[in-house]
Amino acid sequence: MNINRLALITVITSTASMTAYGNSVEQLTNQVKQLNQRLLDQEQRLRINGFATVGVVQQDLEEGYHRGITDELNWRRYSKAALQFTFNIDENTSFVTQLISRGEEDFDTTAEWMYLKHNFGNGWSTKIGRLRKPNYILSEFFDVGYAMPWTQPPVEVYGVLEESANYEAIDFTYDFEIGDWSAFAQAQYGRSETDSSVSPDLFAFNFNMNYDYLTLRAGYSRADTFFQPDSDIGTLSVGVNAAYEAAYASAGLTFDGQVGLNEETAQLAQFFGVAAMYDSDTWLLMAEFNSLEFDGLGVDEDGFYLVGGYRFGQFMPFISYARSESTDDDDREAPITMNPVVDGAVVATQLSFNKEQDRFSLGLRYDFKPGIAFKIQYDSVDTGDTIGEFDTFPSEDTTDVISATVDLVF
Amino acid sequence: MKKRIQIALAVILSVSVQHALAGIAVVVGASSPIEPISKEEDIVKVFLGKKKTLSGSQILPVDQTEGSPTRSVFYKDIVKKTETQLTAYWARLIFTGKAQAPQSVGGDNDVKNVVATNPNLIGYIDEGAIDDTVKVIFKK
Repeated sequence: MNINRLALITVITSTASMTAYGNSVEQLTNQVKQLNQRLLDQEQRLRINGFATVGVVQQDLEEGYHRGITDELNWRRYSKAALQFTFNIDENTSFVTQLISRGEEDFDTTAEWMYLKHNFGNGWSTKIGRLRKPNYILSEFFDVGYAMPWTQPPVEVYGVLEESANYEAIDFTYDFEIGDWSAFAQAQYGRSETDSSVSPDLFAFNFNMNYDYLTLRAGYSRADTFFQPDSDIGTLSVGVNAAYEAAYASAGLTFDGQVGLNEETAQLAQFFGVAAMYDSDTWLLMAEFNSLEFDGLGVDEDGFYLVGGYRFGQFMPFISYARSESTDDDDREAPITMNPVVDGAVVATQLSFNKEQDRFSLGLRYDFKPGIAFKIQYDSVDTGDTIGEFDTFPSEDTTDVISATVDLVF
Repeated sequence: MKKRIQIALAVILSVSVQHALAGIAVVVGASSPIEPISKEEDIVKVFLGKKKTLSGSQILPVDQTEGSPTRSVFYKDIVKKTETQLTAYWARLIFTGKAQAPQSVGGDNDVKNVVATNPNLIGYIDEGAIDDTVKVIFKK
């Protein structure tokens, strides 16, 4: 709003009112009040916010890591820009759209969020439309590099979300206070469909509480899930299923622990996560743990990270450790027949699904003014004998990753 | 000439800093039904978008523009957040559709003008700027 203009109007009208009669003074004052109110309302009606990251990343090995990061400087993988429009229909109802262009998707623009929100009062509200799954403490601002210490959140924990972050759902949120704590509880139901997986009925629950510098959260979600047969993981799963089915059939049994490839064979996936964050004017400390459990042959996975940073004025050096591993290797690799050819094939496929990855990171964030931060980060990644987060089996167990970003919000 | 401007700026800045050290008053319009508050934490919650009602009325905080000396003192002494932390804090709420940062309306006089016209608005001004158009609900 143009406050100068507003002040000017006030001055003009009050000067004018000195020469006017009593009742017209009152009239004019009321007009000014209405005008002020209208200007404020107009400003509140449509809000536009945005954020962007420009980044570079490179690692030691030739093999693609975490969707295409190689030994050549990659300018696209971390770069993105988004605009968010909040249209306030009335004081309790709003419509929010967030459009994002990502470098790794050739800067094609997609609607990341698109929902209608309504407040019922007493802390209750609902959202309906395209939402973000509330899987993690950073889920809802996962793309906003400015709001986190790293150049990119640790893939060991956030990797699961990246593939299927948004879905079409209805959300109920209850905001309340417990003593001095501000808390909210959230329940969502919706349908998730990505290029690789489908969850027709997904339920998600999230609880978050904050007091002063400390935030705690816990979340749980569950859905019968199947893989798209023509995706990479779907193609592999077709082979795994066939091997198991053949083995069971040879023993006169029916195998029903498949990896789901359609709605009938979908398997229950459950995701559980807890996190804590302490964000004072000097310290930033965060810890998060999560666990994915898949019924049948789907890969189970645990992940966690710890990060600590200390602010020296505009500089914040930080240190971070993250780890993820598949937790059902023994189950999936168990011999199912006495036929060495069949067992060998199954075990070989299952080995390619096993995962273990450690990441040790050192970084520096420099806030050169509010709204713009520069970050530089070094990661040492160890994938053991597994594929880890590589796109194909790496030629070595360890790699170094160097990345730098400029993150802004406006 | 350049030097003179710099000196003038330095004088203005030091004057306004001293001026701001007088103290902060959280204000509503003189006719607003909102009652004085004793807990500083409640003020912090209002300006961080965590508390949306006071004395049973819906409230909407209005902010001072970045660079205003009153704003610097308010966030340093009462909210206890740096501008950088504040920006990150609001980014987290804005991009989740949870809340919007308070609207910045200008300086002390602009805040007084705006809160005087709407009983639901709440702002903060320098103690020295208090007059009969506003009601003080908290002072530090």
